[in-house]
Amino acid sequence: MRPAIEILREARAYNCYSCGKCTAVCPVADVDDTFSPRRTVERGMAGADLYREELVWSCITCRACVAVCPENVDFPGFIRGLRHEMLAAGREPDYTHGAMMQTMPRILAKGTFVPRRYDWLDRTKVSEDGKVALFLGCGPYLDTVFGYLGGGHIEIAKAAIDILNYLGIKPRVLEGEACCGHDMLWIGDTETFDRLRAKNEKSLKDAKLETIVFTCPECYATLKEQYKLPGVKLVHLSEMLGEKLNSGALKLAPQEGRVTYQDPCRLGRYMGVTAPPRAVLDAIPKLERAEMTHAGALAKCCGISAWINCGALAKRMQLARVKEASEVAETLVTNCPKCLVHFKCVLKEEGKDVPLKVEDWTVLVARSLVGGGTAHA
Amino acid sequence: MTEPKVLVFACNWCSYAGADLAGISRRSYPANALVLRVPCSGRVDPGIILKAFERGADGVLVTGCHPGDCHYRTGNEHAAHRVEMARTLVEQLGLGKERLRIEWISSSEGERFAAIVTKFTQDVAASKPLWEKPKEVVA
Repeated sequence: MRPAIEILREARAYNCYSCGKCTAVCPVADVDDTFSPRRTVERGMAGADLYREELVWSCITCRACVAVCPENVDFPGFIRGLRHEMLAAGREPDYTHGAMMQTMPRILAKGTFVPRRYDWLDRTKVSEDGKVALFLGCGPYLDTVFGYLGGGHIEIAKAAIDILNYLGIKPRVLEGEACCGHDMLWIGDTETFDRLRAKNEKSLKDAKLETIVFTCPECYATLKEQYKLPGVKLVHLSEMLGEKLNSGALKLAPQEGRVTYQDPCRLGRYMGVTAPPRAVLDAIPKLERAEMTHAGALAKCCGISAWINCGALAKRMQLARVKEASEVAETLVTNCPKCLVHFKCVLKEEGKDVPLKVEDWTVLVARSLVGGGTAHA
Repeated sequence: MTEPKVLVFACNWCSYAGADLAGISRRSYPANALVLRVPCSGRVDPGIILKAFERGADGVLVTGCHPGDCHYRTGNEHAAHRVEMARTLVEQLGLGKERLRIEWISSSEGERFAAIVTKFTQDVAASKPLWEKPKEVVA
């Protein structure tokens, strides 16, 4: 395995002056005293062996540390480097769901067959050769696997298509779309990630697109940061709606209720998109919106990333977050399919006494458009 | 016709004994089938099934005790739910749900075991091979 200090240097850790802001905001350090980004960097730079399971796999790569770091040390990037070495040495993490979520991208990366997951799709709402595509992500698979939590992921895709239709766009959905590879990248399986990227880059280029619209923050962040798609505009649905809102082309029907918005780490901190989703929620008449103490760049997260390490610590993070949300609102609105899964799960089990509902942002917004609202492209 | 790789999960109490009986009573079934004994069909979760496909299986057959006969009372019911979910996933991924099947075989049904495995192997062999096979080295 490569010495950890080399990977630390690539993450610019030599700039660290041990201020400890990272550990102060780290959601893992909040529930686990033994985990500290600051101490990890300090010990690593002094030459300590950092290849320890509990350290390498505990980080949830949410970039809260990067958001506050005055020296711009890329701690999650460093963790990703360590994971790559660990995986190559056969020291795998504790996969959740019987490693199903890791095996599916690996199957998609290896196989030459075409996924068949559009049985729910209304073909009159999509186009065969348009210039705008909707990147679906793993929604249909999640809907199958998390059916016991009520699913709801196909609803997100349907809602996104409805919203785009209202904007006068018939989006394309690509049959050959493979997994974006986000989870493979972040568990350190770069070989599978590179295969998926090559596959997707080819099918997206062949489709001759101008714009790709995303509902999933992870797909969005991964394609934007890791893929090379020259000439193609990548945009999150909330950014698109935010623009329409500013130009006054969007009229939304009223909805009752009091909501608070959960910034998914990949959308808020990775992509810096925090204002547009809020602006759209605020534009819905009668809908009240409250802000949690931890919001925007300092939002606490859903406790798990890349389907590894779901345990007591993750549950404590999730429970703290749903309690925080229930203090200010009755519905927690998130933009990420995985936040949706994790919060629904904790509210079904450990947090079943917490008076809170979880809903997806796209589904909520679509309700305001379909329910009598109008939009002019 | 290609030679598929078929993985058969057999429960310790019923279908594995059934496979044993097939052997004792000299009922042959295709050598493509690899039998893997598990303590109960309820042990086989969708993660394991997907991993089998990822590691090169062309078909996966889960076998267990008949409904009501499970040694652990409800293991086979869990297996039925899980395989149902895995079949949806396998279909969505594009592998084709006909490559995954669940069957109930008791310890006295040696003939049935051989018949089911033979039929399943033939069905899998009739569909397109899933994975590119490594080239055979001829000396």
